Amino acid sequence: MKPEPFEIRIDAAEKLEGTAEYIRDMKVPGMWYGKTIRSIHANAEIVNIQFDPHYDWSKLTYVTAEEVPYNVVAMLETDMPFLAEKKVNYYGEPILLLAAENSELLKEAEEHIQIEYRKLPALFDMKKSAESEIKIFKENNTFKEIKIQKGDLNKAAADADFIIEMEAETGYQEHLYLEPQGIIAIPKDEKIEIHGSMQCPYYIKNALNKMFNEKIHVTVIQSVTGGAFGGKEDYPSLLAGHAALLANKCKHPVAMFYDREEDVQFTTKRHPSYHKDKAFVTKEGKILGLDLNVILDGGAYCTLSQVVLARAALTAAGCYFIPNITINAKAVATNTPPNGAFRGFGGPQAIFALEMLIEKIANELKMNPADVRKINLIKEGETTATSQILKYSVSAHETVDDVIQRSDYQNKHKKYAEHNKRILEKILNDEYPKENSDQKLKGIGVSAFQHGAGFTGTGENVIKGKIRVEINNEGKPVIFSAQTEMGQGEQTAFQIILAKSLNINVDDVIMSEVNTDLVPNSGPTVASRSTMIVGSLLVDAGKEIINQLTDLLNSENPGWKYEEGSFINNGSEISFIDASKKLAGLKIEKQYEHPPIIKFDDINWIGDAYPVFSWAASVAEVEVDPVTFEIKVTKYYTTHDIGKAINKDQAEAQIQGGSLQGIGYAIYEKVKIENEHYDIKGFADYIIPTPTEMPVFDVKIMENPYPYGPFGAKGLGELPLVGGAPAVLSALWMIFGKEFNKIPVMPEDLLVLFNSNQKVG
Amino acid sequence: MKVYNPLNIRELDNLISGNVEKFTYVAGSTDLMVNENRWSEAHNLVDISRTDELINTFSIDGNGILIGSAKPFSDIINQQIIREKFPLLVEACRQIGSVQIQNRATFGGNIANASPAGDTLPVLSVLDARIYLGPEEDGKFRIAKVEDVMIGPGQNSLQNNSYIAYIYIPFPDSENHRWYYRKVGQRFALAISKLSLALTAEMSDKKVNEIKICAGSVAPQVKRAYKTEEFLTGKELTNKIIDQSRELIINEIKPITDIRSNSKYRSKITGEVLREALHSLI
Amino acid sequence: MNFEFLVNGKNVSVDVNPKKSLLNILRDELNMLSVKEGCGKGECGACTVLMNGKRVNSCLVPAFQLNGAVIYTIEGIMDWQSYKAMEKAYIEFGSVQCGFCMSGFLISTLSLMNENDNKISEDEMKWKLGGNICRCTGYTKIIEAVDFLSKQNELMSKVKRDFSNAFIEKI
Repeated sequence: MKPEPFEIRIDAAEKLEGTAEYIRDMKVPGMWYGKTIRSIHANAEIVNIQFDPHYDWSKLTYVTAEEVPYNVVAMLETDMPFLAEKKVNYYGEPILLLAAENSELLKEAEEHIQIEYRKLPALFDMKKSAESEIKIFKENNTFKEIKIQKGDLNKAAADADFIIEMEAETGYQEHLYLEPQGIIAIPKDEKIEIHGSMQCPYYIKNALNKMFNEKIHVTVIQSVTGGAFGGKEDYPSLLAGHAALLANKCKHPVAMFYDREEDVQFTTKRHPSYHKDKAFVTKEGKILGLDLNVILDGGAYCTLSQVVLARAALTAAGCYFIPNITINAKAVATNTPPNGAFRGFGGPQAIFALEMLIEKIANELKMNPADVRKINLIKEGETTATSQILKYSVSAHETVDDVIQRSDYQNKHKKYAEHNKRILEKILNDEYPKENSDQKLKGIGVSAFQHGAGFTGTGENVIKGKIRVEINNEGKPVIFSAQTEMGQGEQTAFQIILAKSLNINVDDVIMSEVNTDLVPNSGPTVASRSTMIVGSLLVDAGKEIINQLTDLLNSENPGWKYEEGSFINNGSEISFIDASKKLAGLKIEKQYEHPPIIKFDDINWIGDAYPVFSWAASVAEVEVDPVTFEIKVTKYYTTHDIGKAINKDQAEAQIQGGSLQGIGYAIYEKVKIENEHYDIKGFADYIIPTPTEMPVFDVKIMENPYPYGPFGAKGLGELPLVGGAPAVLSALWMIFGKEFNKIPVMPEDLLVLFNSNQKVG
Repeated sequence: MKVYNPLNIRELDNLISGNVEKFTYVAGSTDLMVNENRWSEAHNLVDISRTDELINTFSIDGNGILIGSAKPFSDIINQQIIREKFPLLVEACRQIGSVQIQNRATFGGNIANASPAGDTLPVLSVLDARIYLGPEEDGKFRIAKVEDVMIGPGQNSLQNNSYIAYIYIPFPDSENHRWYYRKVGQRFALAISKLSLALTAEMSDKKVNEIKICAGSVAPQVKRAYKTEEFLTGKELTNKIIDQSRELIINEIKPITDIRSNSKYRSKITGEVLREALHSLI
Repeated sequence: MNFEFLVNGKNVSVDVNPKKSLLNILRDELNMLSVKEGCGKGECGACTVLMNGKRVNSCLVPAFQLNGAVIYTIEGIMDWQSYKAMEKAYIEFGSVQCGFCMSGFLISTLSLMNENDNKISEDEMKWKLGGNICRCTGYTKIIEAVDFLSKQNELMSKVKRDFSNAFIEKI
């Protein structure tokens, strides 16, 4: 499907023609290159650092921990240093920084540094973290603990016919954005300028202001960013700090460019999770109570783990109305690189565990998995786990019904089960399973999922994002916001929102460079918040521009009205652009306030956890080769309610791309800790889908408007990823009739199913 | 660092006879440039991507085809005669890395690189390919089998700057020639195999007259399953025989656990894939 | 060492370490910045360029194999007759997101059109684009654009002409 002309991305042509300037394309005279010297142990004391006295260090700059003015990367906690001082907590932790004119010199110099360690036993098991003798964070290695309580589980237990229990686990996920991390720091008089691939320029500015004890003015400018997916939310603060420390010392611009291997080895990943859950269910499949326990592995430092945990906890009960719920969630420390933000932010882990519990209920009650979901889906007027009453824009039923119907799920479920019967029997009897070489086991699976748009709880009221719109000399509005384009289409969406609010052409809306000296802090580009939260400010700004213009015109000659892009008065007509030239230089600022009806108690975790939820449901068709157990998703149907698609074409694109990341999370993408560090080095061993692995996508967008969003829009960016893995695994449950509670699932894991004596199929 | 550009075999052989330092031959460079150690230790680079005979030879006689070792895969699999006579080869080459890689990578490189996961090695083995090794001595190349050249993971038997000049692949004998190839990886494109299996057979109905089976990625070398071949030769392919051969091949291979798969999977699935291969013959 | 070859129709001469990759030569010495490094190991396709008429990973071509080679990057391909139609399709099918993989995809698309006829199946198309990884799009909108392009006979011949103009007499 081709997009409408107004949906065409403003950044497409320059990206295709190769003129878009990514950070490595920037030419900076006199630039040096930086290098990080890292720990080779997961837990150790640094006993001594020796710089070879016979080596000529004059051609290089190095920075030690002692030289960092304030050695804490400002985030939620104050535990993570820019450079480890006496102790390292993970393999690869930065200890020293070097900079020189070229990489050969850096390589040579590195060999003249000796770091002596006293190696200590390291902690890798999140389940043992809280009780471990090894202390990484405070007294019990716990970054945060959240308890959510609704109703009374004892009552659920008394009324239930069945209690169904399940443990579940999810693995790491690496972002694998195509452009690796990169930052350039340029020292200029009393100022330092940071350019780079990033999501959140103000996070970096804040971290560097604190690092320099507010003594140097820090300007942060975003370069064209080659994918992020959360991976460039928190990590660039550390990287920019390193570049700035070196640049400030050597007085040269310094580039910190990670190659692919350094990027996958040492930057953040999605938090692995462990779940131990219990459902109290009637014989009809109604869930009366859920007892959910979640542990997230935060790695060695807190970074964003506390808020990732909050989202995991607040998402744990999924799309269902459950009268009695207890949720215990904690994020703990291990001696591994800090885990950070990744599209979905705790949601994919929580939804995966819950959806697998639903599969287990269906399996034990011998019910259809879609039916179990439908019985329990939440409706408008019902309450979530935090007792939030859903007052508007609820589409759990509608999305599930739509995707079930469009995919012909029920018929295929029966048909495929019949088709698989004989093949499975043959596998079990150790007979050759195929009647022809193309024959496959066929599965169909479903998932229901949601994503709370914007920051959790009162977060948006803390951030109070601010934007500015200025009218330039040509009468064109210029948007100043800190929201970043990283591929998701934010710039085009903002143009469309303001253009629609003003009823003018999208080409007449101009986007300012994202530069902290120019743009106000509209908050970070995370949490599926840009379109919904910041976009709503653009609508407000648009209204105010029209009002001011109308007032101005009326002050000269009353009777002007704005209609369809023009001011009209008794047969006279002035176009917006002509009129707004009169307001050239006008600056309108808008600051976000939550709608007052949204209230959240973040001590007891009660109330409106999110201003609104986006809802979705997916159906995955999966084929498994009965000879090799290779898994392939052939068709993926999904229905997403996003309130209003600002750019339908690019909304679809988000859904396709996010869904494929969810499929990757389920059956391709695997990282293990081996010899204290990640076992992956790049694209050859961290397997993500290529064009040969893409399923046929069948995407439908539903529009159930959010009263406070721009034209009704809700958040979208993260949602598609959340439902991928549970839909794929639901199909595996269907094929094998066995418990699937762990991702990723590899062919090697399917083989093991047939080694036990349990019945399959 | 020295770079040599021999334009033909004569120049190449003269170069070898006049030098004692260790050469690194470079054809498509797709394996070499990603092997940090070997690449950094290569000080005498010999670019054979312009050595006339190595890059241009593609000659057919009544019995088979002689291919220059430095000819990129895509040049080979796009030839009509290869598509007709060696669909097995086409299938295996099509699944190597990506078109970008196939446009550079060569048989010579695949063999010399000696990876147990080398995609063409099992195929060359079952096609009975002969590897011509230079330099010429008394006007003759030494001739070896793939298994004689690839002797261990990353180890080849090429000594004293000897090089791979040609690959000769005989045409299959009879009308009854059959083949099977399967590469199992974690994805389809850009995959390094977990295991692979190549097979050729001459059949009379269900009876095996001759069979060659070779497995990749399941032993330190590409593994020719001689015992399994011997067992199957002369037998009718019944379910029972097929299942027995599955056990035999599992005993012939020695798979390891690494980042791509584990030994259990490789072992069991090699047997299953052989079973699929044999079923495809009947 | 000095190496001479043709880039985007112009003779160039570079004095570099013979092991330096074509990717780094194009970016550092010749300012051809459309060519991106995603992995440096031939595993992602972001650095794909045309060399002597075929697409290759420029990260895996060493300088010492470049003498006399004919190289094209997007900077040069932009002047080809067939380029605009391709760019237009990628834009109009919404195929672009972060953009980092895009020049590689465009070059693979051109090669695919050069090497196939309009009967190329979607499956075959996916195989032939299998050497290019994109993390943003889920590939759907890219494949839609390529499918649209490869069904236009006139454009397919134009691509073939552009290839022969660029390479045939020069190699």
